[in-house]
Amino acid sequence: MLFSSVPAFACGPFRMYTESAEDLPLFRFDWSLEKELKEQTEANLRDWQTYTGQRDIALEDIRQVVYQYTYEELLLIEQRNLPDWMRFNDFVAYLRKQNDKEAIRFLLLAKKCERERFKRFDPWWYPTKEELDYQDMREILEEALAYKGSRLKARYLLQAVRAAVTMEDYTLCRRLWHEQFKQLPPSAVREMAEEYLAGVEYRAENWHAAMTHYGNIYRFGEEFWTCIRQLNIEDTPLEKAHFLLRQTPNTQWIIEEANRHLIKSDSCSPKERAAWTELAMQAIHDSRVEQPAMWWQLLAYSAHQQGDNYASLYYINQAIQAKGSKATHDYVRIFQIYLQALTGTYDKAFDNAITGQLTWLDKRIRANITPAIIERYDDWDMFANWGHYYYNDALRRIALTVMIPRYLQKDKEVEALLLAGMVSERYRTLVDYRKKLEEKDAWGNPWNPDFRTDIFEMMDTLSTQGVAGYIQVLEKGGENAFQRFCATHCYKNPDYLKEILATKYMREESFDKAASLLAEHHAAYDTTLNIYDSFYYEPFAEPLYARKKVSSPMHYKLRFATQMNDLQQVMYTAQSPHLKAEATFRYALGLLRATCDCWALTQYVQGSGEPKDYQVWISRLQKKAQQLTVKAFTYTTDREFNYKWLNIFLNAGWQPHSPERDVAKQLRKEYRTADFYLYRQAVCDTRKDWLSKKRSKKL
Amino acid sequence: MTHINYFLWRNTLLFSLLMTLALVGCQKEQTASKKKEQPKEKETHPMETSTPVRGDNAIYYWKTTFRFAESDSLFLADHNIKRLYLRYFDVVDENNDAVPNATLRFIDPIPRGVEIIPTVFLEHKLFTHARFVDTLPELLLQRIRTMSETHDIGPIREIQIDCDWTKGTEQPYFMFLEKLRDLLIKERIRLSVTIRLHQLNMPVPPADHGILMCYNTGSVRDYLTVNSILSARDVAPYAHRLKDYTLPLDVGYPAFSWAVCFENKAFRFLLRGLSPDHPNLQQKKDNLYIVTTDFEQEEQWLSTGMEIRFEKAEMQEIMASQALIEPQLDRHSVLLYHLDSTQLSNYTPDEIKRIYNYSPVVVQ
Repeated sequence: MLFSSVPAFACGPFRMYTESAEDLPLFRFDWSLEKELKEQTEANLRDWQTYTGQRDIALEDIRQVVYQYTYEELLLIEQRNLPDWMRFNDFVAYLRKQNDKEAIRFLLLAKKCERERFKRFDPWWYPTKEELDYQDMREILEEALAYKGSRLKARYLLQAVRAAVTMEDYTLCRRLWHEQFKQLPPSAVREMAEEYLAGVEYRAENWHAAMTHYGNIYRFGEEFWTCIRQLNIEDTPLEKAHFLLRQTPNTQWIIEEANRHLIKSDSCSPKERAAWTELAMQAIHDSRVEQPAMWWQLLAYSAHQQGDNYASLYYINQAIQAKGSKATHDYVRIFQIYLQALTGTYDKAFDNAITGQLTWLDKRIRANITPAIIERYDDWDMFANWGHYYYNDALRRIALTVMIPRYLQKDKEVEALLLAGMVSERYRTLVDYRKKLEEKDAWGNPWNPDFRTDIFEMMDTLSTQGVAGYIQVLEKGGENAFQRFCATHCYKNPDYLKEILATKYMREESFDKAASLLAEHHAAYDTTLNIYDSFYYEPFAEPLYARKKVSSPMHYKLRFATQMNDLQQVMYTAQSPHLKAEATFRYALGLLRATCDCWALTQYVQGSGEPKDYQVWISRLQKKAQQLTVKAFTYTTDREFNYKWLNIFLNAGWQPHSPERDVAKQLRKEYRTADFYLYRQAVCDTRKDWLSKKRSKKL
Repeated sequence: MTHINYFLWRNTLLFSLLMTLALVGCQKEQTASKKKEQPKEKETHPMETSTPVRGDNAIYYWKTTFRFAESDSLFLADHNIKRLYLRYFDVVDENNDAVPNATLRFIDPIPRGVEIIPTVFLEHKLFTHARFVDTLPELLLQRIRTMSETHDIGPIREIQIDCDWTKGTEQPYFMFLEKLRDLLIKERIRLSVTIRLHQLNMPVPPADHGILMCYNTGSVRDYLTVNSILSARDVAPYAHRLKDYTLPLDVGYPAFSWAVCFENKAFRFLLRGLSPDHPNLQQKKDNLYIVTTDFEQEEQWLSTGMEIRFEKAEMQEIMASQALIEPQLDRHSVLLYHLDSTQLSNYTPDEIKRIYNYSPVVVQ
């Protein structure tokens, strides 16, 4: 979907989950330019609240009085004859306590005007003689124009406009607007009045005037576009955009169209691109444009898409300083972080700078999370990068696709792991995931979700040293601001961390370190592992093909690590050739088993989903086992002993590969002509008989 | 005079007096008992003074703007028209709501000397259910009242409802009429309804009297129809129903014309202002014309090859229809549809007079 200049790496978090992070959204505009009616209503209520000078009066109380009370109910306030249910309303209490007759009289007039106007909306209404003459509206108009005060001037004028519109006295409407309203400061009431003017001009087919009024109040609905059509503007999007930029520069359509051409289109020619870019610059330098930041943002996205990240960074830095809505500035800053991550040096200075940015982003994640977002959280979706909550998605996108690969490129595995740990766990913490955890597998058994995360993927595949360093930072708190910030939000279960590190040590044959770590972690933790059911086979059973069940899965890995460590000691220190050979053979057996039947000793998944990285150390261990086996045959000349072990290894269908194959072949040849062969022959009459007994595994 | 003669004379006189008294008393009793036997509907009829004189000439006014020219005034005077059925508004079903539509705009004042009967056309699909039955009568009446007061129309003695109801809409429509009638009775206003020819075969609606619409007798959309406005042949099958029809009927005849446009024999639209003399038309046969060159008329586009059937209410058809219908009726009024000087100029004053003053030809 979006062009990225991130280089590919041979190792690191680019597997099925983290690769999909490229699809997470990053480009976002604040498309709330068009105002909704409810915003106007709320702005009106806030103006009333300001009028009272008491911010603790609930907007809902004001709404009830202004929008829902009937004329008769308002009269009760004037007459100070309140029913009980009205006494709980704070706005009513204010009017009564302050004896604000001015406001009450106004509310009565407004309600009367509303009643007289609304009855005309009834399709069955027909005017009486008096109504035909607008006598009722005239009285309202006169009262509205008679007001000489200042506090409610705009509101009285609005009633006058409403009355004039109902009387179809459009000339008066226009006069009221141009001579009086335009002198007043912007407000919700003035906006309401301008909406009437827009309707008046629309009805009178003054398309240009109507369009301007609609544009001023951000009403870009059907009427607005009818005006545009009627004005016969040039049909090309660019011409239309230029026209609208001159007339109603805040029309959302302009920037949407620019977005469509500059970013979403693959077929925008360089000439067109230049033309739209020029339009964007005009918009940026037009003082009437409310959000020049959005235009800078658009240019930044476009430059990035064209591969010029430095130009993109320049534009986005301009956007940071330009005027724009809160939401726009959020999106701009997120993109800035992304670009800084793309172009950063990843040294100490960068770490410090990016820590501030990530801290800000973390705050935005916390600030914008809502109960609805928490409610719809799905852990599988989050780690599959299906996009859930923009702010967190942006963090994951930046971390997983840009920063982590760059840290790995710089051999800063600990930083990469810390970042992965943070993005894996932080959001889970915010949605209280672990408190609600009830993961089950397909058979209804408890399922441990900590092995599908980004941090686990990385710990499983990066170096043991890197993981050890990561765990050390988590235990000790970190050496700098970046490490401390990330570490604060990582998952720190010591059993989980030690178990993984121990497994990695076993893959390197550091069985002493593995045993040491496994001895520290709680045995009960093993039962929470998803592979616990695979702690099944005895790793040292003979022959190699034998599948013998362990007596207990408890301490499965610890027992194995301990035994392998002991065997290593004997291998390297024993003087007796038999002992040395025996230890070597058994060690090799353990290594082989740990990479096939007893895979759960060293792996967390086998078969489908198995990481390609596993093959590296699996091959190494198997090769080591073969080498050790061939070597062990040379420790003693005890043929019976050697044959027994050869039988153990060969009778599994396991065939030695590469250079050792010739040695094994040689060994097999020798054993055929040796006394032992003759000994075996004593058991069998013929070679044929011997071969068949061998095949049937009786020998 | 002898004593006996005196007694005879006296007794005869007394007897005569007694007989006279007895007869008068009987008649009163009879009258009283007859009154008791009369059905409730008759008892609830409006007062006699509100009943129009049957046999008056009347005419419909069916436009959306009321303009009353001198020629209209002369027409009413010349033909002694006493009643004007004035279409106030239609009522249509809009988004499952019954709302007025095409309300009459009053440009000129109502003429004096003629009774105005507010007429309301109701879309029949309003009555595919009974949703509006309870509320519509009051809404309708209130609106008529307000319109009449605002424009100094009155007193209102009759209201007419025009609705082409069907079997499926009959029951709710009749319920509506009953409720409306109940309201009107309180104000001493009569209720009349339009009756189309085919509705003579259907149950009688609850009203005080009806107007038999003797026009639009054919299928206007059918390419093969010769004249959908009026054909006596279409009227004939219904004429015998009139005798037994229990609702007193007036009768309405057409005095209009139109052009019915077809494309590939499929009905497209009607035009009111097109003349056969238009240069872009060529006669095909009789009243059927063909468009020879594209042109626009009344915001409709007529393409080359389209066929136009010019229809007019022909005098002989009107006369023939009258001969079928009017002998079956008693003291009925004749109405013309409708008051439009352009349309009425297609008829001579004599022709109009003949329609209004129909009398059967008596063969000696």
